[in-house]
Amino acid sequence: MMRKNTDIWDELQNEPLEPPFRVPEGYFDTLDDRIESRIEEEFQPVSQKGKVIRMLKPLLGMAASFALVFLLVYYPLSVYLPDYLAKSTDKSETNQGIASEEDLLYSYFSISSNSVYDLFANDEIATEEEISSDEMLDYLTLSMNEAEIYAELK
Amino acid sequence: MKSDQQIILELKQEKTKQAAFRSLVSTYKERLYWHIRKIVISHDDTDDVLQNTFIKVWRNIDNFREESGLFTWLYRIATNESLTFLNQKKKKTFVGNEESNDYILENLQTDPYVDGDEIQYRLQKAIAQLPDKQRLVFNMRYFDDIKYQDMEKILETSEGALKASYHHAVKKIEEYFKSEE
Repeated sequence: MMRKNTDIWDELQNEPLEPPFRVPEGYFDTLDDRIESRIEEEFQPVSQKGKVIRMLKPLLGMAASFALVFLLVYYPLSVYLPDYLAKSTDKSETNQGIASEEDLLYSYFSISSNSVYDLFANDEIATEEEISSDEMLDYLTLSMNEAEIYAELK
Repeated sequence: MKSDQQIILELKQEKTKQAAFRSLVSTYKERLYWHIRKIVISHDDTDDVLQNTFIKVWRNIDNFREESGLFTWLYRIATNESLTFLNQKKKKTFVGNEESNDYILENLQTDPYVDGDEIQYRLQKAIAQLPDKQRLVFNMRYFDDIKYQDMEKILETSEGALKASYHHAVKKIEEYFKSEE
């Protein structure tokens, strides 16, 4: 005969059952060690060296990022525009001493078409000064005949 | 095995603290495990809560007042940790309905370390329907046979309130079995 649920409950009240739970094999054997290592991990005292490193970490990070920005700006300038860099360094040395990173950054990004023109214009002036009158005469004789030269000189 | 009194004495001294704590873990790990397991059901959750319990014990050893008794103090921490854990899980899983016991029922169905016969399983399902407080009192009284006087200290509730909780729990379980007929 099948038992009624209410009968089952009456029996359960008189004779409590164990809960239907089990643990993985060897669980309790390793538990002490796991708890101990977690405590060691969480409550490990920080050494004096560790404290100093922790304090210096943000400063070192800032210094590294400044160095990186400096390299990113200074290196392309020194490779692609060495004359400009030399000039601006001279100028800043005479006016304000050594150029700061911010100045370099600013000058790098603020190069306008005019200032590029200025850079090349300086080169042209230098070239003009180096040409002598004899060289000029040679150049003209190559592209003109005698009559044209005579007309020009007249 | 060291007595509670001896463990407490050694825990208070820096030199013997670590060894005494090892004794405490070794003495109480199984009892606390089964207490927590009946509340959170899943083995993995129980493992987490048990470790958190012992970490809290280690952290608060200096605040332990001897008059409450080591057993009571440990059970109180384990109970609080279990209920906090359950509430966090319920909030995360079931959109903040702390009254819902769906998380416990789900654990009962999915945990690989839950087995036993049909009646054991049905009893667990009936217990899972109870509100947390009644579930806790029922488990402690029915499975662990903890006296109301001890429960009073662990749960910081009056004996009358505990008896009422147990009575309500029994009635609800009875109704659950009847409703299955």
